[in-house]
Amino acid sequence: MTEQEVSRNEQQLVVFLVGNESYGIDIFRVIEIIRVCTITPIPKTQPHIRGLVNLRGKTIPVIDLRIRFKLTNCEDHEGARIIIVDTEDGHTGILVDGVREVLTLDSEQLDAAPTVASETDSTFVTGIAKVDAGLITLLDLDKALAA
Amino acid sequence: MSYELDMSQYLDLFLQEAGEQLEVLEQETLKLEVEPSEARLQAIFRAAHTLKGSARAMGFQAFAELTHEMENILDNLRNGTLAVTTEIMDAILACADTLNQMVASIGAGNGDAIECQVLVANLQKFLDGSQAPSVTVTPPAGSTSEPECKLTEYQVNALNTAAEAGQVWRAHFTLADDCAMKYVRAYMAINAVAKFGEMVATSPEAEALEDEHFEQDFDLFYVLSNPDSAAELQAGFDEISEVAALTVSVWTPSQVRQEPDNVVELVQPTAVQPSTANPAPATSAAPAKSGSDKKAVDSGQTVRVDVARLDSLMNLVGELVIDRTRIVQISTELAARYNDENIEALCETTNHVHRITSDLQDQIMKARMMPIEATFNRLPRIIRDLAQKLEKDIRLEVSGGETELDRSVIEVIGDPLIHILRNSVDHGIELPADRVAAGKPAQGTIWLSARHQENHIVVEIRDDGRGIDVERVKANAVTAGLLTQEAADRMSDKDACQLIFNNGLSTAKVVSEVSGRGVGMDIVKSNIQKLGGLIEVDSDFGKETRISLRIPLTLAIIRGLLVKVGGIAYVVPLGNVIETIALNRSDVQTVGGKEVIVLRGLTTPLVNMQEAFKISKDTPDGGAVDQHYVVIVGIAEHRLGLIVDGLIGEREVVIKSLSRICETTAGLSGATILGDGSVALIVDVNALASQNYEAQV
Repeated sequence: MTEQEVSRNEQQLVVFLVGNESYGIDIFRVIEIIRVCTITPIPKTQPHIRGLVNLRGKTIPVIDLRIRFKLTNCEDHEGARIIIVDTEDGHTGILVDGVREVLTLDSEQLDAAPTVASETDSTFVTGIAKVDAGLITLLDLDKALAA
Repeated sequence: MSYELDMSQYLDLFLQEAGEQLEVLEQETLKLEVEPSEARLQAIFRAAHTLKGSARAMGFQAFAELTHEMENILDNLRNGTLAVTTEIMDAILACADTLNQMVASIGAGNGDAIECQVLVANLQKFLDGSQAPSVTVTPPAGSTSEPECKLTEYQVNALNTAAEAGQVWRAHFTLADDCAMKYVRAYMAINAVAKFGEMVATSPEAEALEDEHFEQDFDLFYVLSNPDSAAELQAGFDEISEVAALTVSVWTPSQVRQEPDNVVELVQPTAVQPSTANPAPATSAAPAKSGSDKKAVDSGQTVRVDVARLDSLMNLVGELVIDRTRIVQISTELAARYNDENIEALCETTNHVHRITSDLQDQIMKARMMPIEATFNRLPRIIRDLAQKLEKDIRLEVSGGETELDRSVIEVIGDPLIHILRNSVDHGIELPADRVAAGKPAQGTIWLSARHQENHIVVEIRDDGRGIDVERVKANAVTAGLLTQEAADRMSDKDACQLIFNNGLSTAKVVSEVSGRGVGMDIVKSNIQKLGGLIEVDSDFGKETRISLRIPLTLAIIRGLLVKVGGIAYVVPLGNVIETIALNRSDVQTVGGKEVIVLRGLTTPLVNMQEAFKISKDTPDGGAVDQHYVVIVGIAEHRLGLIVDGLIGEREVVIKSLSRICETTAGLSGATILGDGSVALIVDVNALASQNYEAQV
């Protein structure tokens, strides 16, 4: 298989946890992954916007996906991470419960989003991937981050 | 020998030069109208001539044609066949406008295709009206000193060979000292020669010419294919602008003196004008006169730098400033914790870095500074046109144009200034008859001044017009529903003056093309606020109106007051801060359900930051503060007291814009990074004030 075919049929995902569920986003959208640091809250914004962090001299907004997905347990525990992703509005951080792995996925393993989604609002979902360890929800990053 | 030339590399230069020359043209034309002088006319003429030459060189025909017509008019003005009249000045200014449009169009890559036939026809009308001027034969251009030049042995041989075959001509050019595109001039001359004959040699050689490796002088040696075309060629040479002097003579081998190092020096050419009459347009020797009042141009002392590069430098320094603060903080902590000579050394170095960074920041800020003149220069024209339209007689007195401020600020204050001046012309200054009736001189005056005051620039616009009719402003405000009658009655005159900044409030009785729609002053206010500036109006009814703008010198780095609200640090721009006081509950009074504090007779509305930002009190040490403070801020004409939990201190902060994701209505203008690496939000006092103001109404 040539390299081109790899890029056409396969997709690399960064798999992370929100609550107990696994989610995946395209690796090309990920800039870096950092530990949770001091987040300065922004008054009067929507609750899922946790605030701003300082990433080497740049201020980057952080969105708490757990609040976005209306989960109740939102403690910033030891495993929690901020994934810095590239968006139309510049770099944005997403706060997740943990980062599991980078996964290479064949397009055959992909299913369209189910009509009855998990506890997550199905509007954020582009598809479901079946892997040995279970199901991974493919996240529509732009929709998840939009206000 | 190839004289091919890639014009695109000269395009930027052309645009820049054209912009500068057009500005000179406009400025001088305006001055000429007020006090005509030979030197002014000369300067205008020179500008037009340079423009024409550059446009020709770049191949912009419409541009060249229009400037050519202007030049004809100016020439007639110069030799007295036409008199300086308002109509002619109008026509010239109209041309300048069109030329400016062309420059913009060329800059945008659309060429100079802008309709100018009407203008050209208009100009020609003036010419037809005047006596057809006898062709003034201008004295031979240039100095009488003998131009010398160096030739290689090879070139001398070529010249000798050519001279045996026929007459060899020598054209000696001396370019103006401030000539910007030297090779373009040389290229045009070479091209002109190519049309009528053949080039034998150039001095310096072609490559040196191309690389502009020559001072002001160069020589062309050529043979003409037809001896009668000498005059045509002369005319071609005359088209080249920025030539200070030009001597055309017949070259004879005797002019050559052999030098030991294979370089021969040419001395004392017989300065013969070509025997054929000189039918060149009267423009021929004009540039030669430029020597009379030329300005010293320190071209070697300055470098043009791309603005984007300055901006990125500024950003980098911004980051450096953040890191510096962080390093200072860390080393201070280390010094407190350990007693080590290494740490002592670290602290010393840190101090040094601190100083250097400050200097660097200062220097880069200075590099971004521009004199406010850039904006001021646009204004006389606007005033003149407006005054003419309204049949008013107005003099604009400008001072402090050399006051410098950041170019980003300069860009933003242009519009507010224009609006304020339009207002002064339209509403402020009365018609001459009314002025005389009121016992004032018929000519109205507007004073425009700029000066530095601490970290701010103060721009003041004063006119001796009719002033602001406070009662009518109040009445209008009540009618427009901005105020209750009761509030209007209580309002001081000074406060009432500030009402003119409200949208939809105009004291002009008639809506004119100029103003009166009540939007102008609204734009003024919002633009000044965007800059974090203050604006104040004051007026003596019947006598004068004074508007003063207080604007920070730069926008990228500000000094801020760090305050604590609900355990979190916020930055209040120091430019807005008037004073800070400890809050004494007994000073707080309630007016109409709003808390106010009376300070030295001024009633100042209070905003509790904790409530305004909806910060919950259960954050660490959030609710446990006994002593609150009030930061009194000024926003344009408003005063506001912000209640905070604590004052941390003054800091220099670099403004970072907020991502669109976290846009709020909370009154935040940006974020910054503090010395400890944490992010602090910058309070937008303007937004807080307008929220407060809306709440009042």
